[in-house]
Amino acid sequence: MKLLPVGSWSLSARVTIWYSATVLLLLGASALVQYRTLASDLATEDDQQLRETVAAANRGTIGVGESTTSTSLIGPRIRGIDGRCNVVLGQPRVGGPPPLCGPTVGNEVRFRSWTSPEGRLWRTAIQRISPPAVAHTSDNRVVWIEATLDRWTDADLLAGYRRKLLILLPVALFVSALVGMWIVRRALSSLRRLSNVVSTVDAEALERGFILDGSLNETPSEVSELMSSLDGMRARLNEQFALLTKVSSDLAHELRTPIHVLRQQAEVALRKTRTADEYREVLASSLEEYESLQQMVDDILFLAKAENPFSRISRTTLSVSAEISDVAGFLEALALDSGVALHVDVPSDGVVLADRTLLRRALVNVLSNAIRHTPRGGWVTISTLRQNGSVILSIADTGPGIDRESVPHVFERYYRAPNAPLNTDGSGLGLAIVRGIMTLHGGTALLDSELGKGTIVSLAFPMQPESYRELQDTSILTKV
Amino acid sequence: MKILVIEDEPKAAAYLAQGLTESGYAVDIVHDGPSGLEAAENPDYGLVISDVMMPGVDGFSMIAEMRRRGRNIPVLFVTARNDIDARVQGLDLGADDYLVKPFAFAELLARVRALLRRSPSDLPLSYRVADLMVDVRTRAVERSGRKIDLTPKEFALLLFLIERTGEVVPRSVIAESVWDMHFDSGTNVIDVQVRRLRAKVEPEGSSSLIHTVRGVGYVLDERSQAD
Repeated sequence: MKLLPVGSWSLSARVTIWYSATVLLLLGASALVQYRTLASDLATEDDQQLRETVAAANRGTIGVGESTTSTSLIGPRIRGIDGRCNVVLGQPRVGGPPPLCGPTVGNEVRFRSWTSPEGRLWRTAIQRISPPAVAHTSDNRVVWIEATLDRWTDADLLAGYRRKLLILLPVALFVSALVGMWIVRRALSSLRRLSNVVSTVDAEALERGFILDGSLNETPSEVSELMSSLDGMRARLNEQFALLTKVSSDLAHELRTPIHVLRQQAEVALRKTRTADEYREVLASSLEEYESLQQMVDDILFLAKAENPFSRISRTTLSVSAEISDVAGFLEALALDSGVALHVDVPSDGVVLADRTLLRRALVNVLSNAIRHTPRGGWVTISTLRQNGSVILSIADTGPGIDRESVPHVFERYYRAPNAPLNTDGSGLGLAIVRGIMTLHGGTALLDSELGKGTIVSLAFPMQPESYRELQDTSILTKV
Repeated sequence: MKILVIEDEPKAAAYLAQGLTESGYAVDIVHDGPSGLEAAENPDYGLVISDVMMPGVDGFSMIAEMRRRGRNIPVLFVTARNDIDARVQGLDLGADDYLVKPFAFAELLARVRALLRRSPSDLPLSYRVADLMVDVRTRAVERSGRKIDLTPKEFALLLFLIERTGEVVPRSVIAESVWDMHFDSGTNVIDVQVRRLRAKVEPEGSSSLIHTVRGVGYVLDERSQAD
């Protein structure tokens, strides 16, 4: 079986492993500390006992060669050692440590550990006799008192402790793994339920919102946070989805009219033989319809491109006044024809960072819109303003204005305010294209209007191209 | 002047050739890049009109190879791809102009004429169409000996039309050349501009010189519109 890379392990496996490892580490560490404390306590105790035994023998309280507790096998054995390191008093012990001799200073007690070849642990202490005593049974002078302790009880105790740990630690590991797994599973159950709900989401469910089975207060806060983020995403997707649906249905409706005209005129023209002039008329009329179809397709493609977050534009530093005066010059005839005065109130030194063609297109769209909606005798004013690192171009008109309810929708495709005159010759995409252009520039398009008081459209071009992507991201989420 | 058309779609190629032939150009058609590359070696051609997306060698590779071989014939690309990158790529590779399908034939014709046009120094310094006189240097305009006052833009529009006497100029080309507006404004502003110019150069009683060609654009000449 091939092991999966760690990165793809399940969350429960990861949490369980970490949890168990932590438990094992803590338990192991604390057991080790306790074991070492126990071992060192035992050694200290033994040394203390040996020290006292040697001292007692020296004082003559205990006879050399006796055991402190003669009936017990546990206590220290005492021997007398002469200057040549021979045992001169007490039994020479079978299997015990060899005698420990000198050098010691004063009444210092010296210790030594010794392990027999069979693994038995011994501890020996010696102290010089003062004054040197003469053994009763021999001529040899006893120079040192030696006490030896067989530490097998200590070793047994520690070995028992180790055995218990060896059983306890795996059990603890197992239990902690079980507990860890249980905790994680429980915590993730709401995530699983959420996943079940999300997996069933389709276009229809986008409108409804997510309903999680089980009560909400059972849901951990992290998951409910995720849930509300998902729900926010759903709402935004739903909005975009609805917009997309609306756009395609609007487009289909818009396409219907020219196709209808084309079809009717071709069919009617073919019903009987006609003069060359009549055929020419049909073809010319078709050409006009084709042109409007083409315009529609171009605009739709342009909008699709403008809304694509990966679209790039090439920006140059342009003179605001030059661009505005060119555009005003272009539309001047239109304004004169409609009896609308065009005021350009722009300082000559301002610059804007923009794509020239797109800037002109946005200005032409807004300006021609303003001229179209302003009654004879009215005026349209173009002015500029620098604010918060943006250059704002404002186009104000004295037209009939737009009611408050319609204002948020004016930049939508094919939107027509209820009070708008029906004979306007716009494609219904003019302001949508303006918004698209501003989105491409990382700027914003705003429209302010009130019925009877005219309309002001403001185009804000940021001066810092660095903020372009960031601004664009937000402008996609928050509708103009 | 001979024009080489490289276009893999037979119907599009045929109509393109017909339109160009009827406008007085000799046209040869090839249907793929390699044949186009081979045919362009012929020095008789004064212009290549080529599709971009073609089977085999695409238009961009073709022009790169053509320029590598040192053939400096003007190339006009026509393509259904309308993104700035493609346009920039085409122009970078040495294309002289770029038209996006679908385009008005009149616009193609206007661009073909521009590419084949003599250099500006060869252009006449004054024009005369019927009794309309235009002096390019003094910017004076007269009709039947009477002076006509035009705004600078009106003069530019008239000059643009009179330089192309007899050629039908689409509105988009007028907007581009006279006002530097490289997009469809979606307005009738060119019609209004032409109407205002007409009112000045065609006073009451004089003959009509600027004609509307329905569905196409405008033409300045002496003949009547019905021709």
